[in-house]
Amino acid sequence: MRIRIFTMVVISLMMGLTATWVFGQAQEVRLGALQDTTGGTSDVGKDEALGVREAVQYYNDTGGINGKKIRLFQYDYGYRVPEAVTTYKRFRDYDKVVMVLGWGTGDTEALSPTINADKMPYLSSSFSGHLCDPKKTPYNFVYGTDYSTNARGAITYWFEEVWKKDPKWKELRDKGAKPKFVCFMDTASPYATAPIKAIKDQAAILGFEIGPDQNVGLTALDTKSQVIAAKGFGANLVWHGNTTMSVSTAMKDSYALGLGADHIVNNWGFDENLSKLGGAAAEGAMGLIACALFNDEYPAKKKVLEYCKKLNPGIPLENRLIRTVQGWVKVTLAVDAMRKADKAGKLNGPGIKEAFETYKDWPGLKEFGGQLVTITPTDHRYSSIVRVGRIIKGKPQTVAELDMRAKFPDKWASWLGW
Amino acid sequence: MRRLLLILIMITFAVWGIAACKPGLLPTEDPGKPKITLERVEISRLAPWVELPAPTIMGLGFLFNISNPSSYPIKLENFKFAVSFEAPGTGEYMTLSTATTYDNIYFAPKTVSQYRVVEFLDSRGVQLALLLPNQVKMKALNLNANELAKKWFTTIGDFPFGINVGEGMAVFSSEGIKGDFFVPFEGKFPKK
Repeated sequence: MRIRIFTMVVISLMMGLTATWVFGQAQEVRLGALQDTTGGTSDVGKDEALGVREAVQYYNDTGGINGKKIRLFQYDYGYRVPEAVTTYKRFRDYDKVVMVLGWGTGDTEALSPTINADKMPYLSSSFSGHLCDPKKTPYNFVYGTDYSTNARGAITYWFEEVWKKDPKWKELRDKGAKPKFVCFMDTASPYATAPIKAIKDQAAILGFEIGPDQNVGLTALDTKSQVIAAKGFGANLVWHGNTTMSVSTAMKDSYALGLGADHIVNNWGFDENLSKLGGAAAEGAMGLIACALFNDEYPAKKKVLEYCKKLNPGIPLENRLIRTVQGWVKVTLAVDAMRKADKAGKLNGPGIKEAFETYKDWPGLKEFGGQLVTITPTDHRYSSIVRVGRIIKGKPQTVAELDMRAKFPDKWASWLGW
Repeated sequence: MRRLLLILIMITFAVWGIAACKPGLLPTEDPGKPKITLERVEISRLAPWVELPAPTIMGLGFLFNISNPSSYPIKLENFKFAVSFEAPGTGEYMTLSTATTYDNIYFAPKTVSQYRVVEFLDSRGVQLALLLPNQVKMKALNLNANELAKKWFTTIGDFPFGINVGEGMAVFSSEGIKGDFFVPFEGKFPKK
């Protein structure tokens, strides 16, 4: 009898331990994150990576995915596409992630056929418009207004609010001149070139004269020849498609050489560092803002600051950028989609995709200064709202929000996938 | 009666098994129990210098002492730190990369163990790091990225400049006993 009792107790113990192990495994949700903390976009990528890590910890501390802990695998790929591809394969084959948080346009677009074949939801920091048409890229998602819509919005804002109203351009306006426009971007960078077709299309719609593109590398230290070429064309407006460091270099050269044009900047080139680096040359520059700037007042600021201090106490808060907040926006959207999928009993690629595609005016990103999110099975553009910022007295701040769907209702549908 | 007792025992163990399945979701506790210090930096790989933009490879081994003074084992889940090199003669450090590992390793109670992280740098990546995230410092110090990268790669054998480990953070799990531990750390080599 005693042997029987002993046997039963041992079996019970083993059942308990097995349950611990099995349920413990099942109670972990694996999430991959590709980051650039050392490569061509590390001037903005490093800070975003910190935000992603801190946000994941916050969500783990507050319940994870319906009680399941998020296990984050976050790797720097140095903005090298081949390394992104191999890291993705590690995520898929060994880390067994349910979803990937991606980074650059080059790697996201290069990986797109693979992740779509693998049915792997991929939420990228590349807001390339090419990733928003689910007919072509059903598993790609973005967490900001896409580059093409943003670029169209920025040039429209400048045309309506500056060109038509600013005394600086009165003389040319009175003469009936067309505004002259050029693009500065790294022509080898998919990020920098992604919205060029759209912004030129918008420039044509608004009646601009478009000058020759100027190739400015992401690591440019000298852009004088490009500025001189733009000056020769008589540019009134320059689009900067790069990240903050090279944008500031181009602005300083423009200022020094007396270009006299206004500047509009893509969202990864417009942040707190632009005014610090560009100084007087950056004053008045306009750019695109995806969410709250780090030092803005926004409802989630308290927890963002708390987790900055908790996880990365060695990094001074004064060095933090809007990119930290963008990391939170990215993780918040991913976590909510995973929670929805999990509640539906489908915490897998197709289930997460379905969850993303149910968002209709979802307000969850408002606490970070993001937009209401609407994603449908036929349109993965996250929002039609373009938030325009301007550097005023050395500080970037929001000056306008344009609803491009409302402004161009007859064109909005046709712009999908640009 | 005995059968009832047996059933009760089985239910108890089953409930215990399921109840033990909530690790990691407890509120994060204050860091401080485990302690991490940088013991030394070693050169794991060093290729002969080739002029930029061709990349030259350097592998650095960072050896850490990890102390677990608690009475229970802790599991390392994530370990990351930024690697910075000193610009010779300036006292300023340039951050060149972030090393990250996700190895699951248990550290026994009341022990000091060693943990090595090997981080590879290449001269092209270093050049980019100097031109982008370190651009402000580089300009302020009037330094040339190519020259600085070459100096580091060709003289590191004697460690004539400082190597800094910063922004270090290790995440340990006590597997439900005390929640997760977040342990910040930093260190310099050579220790002067």
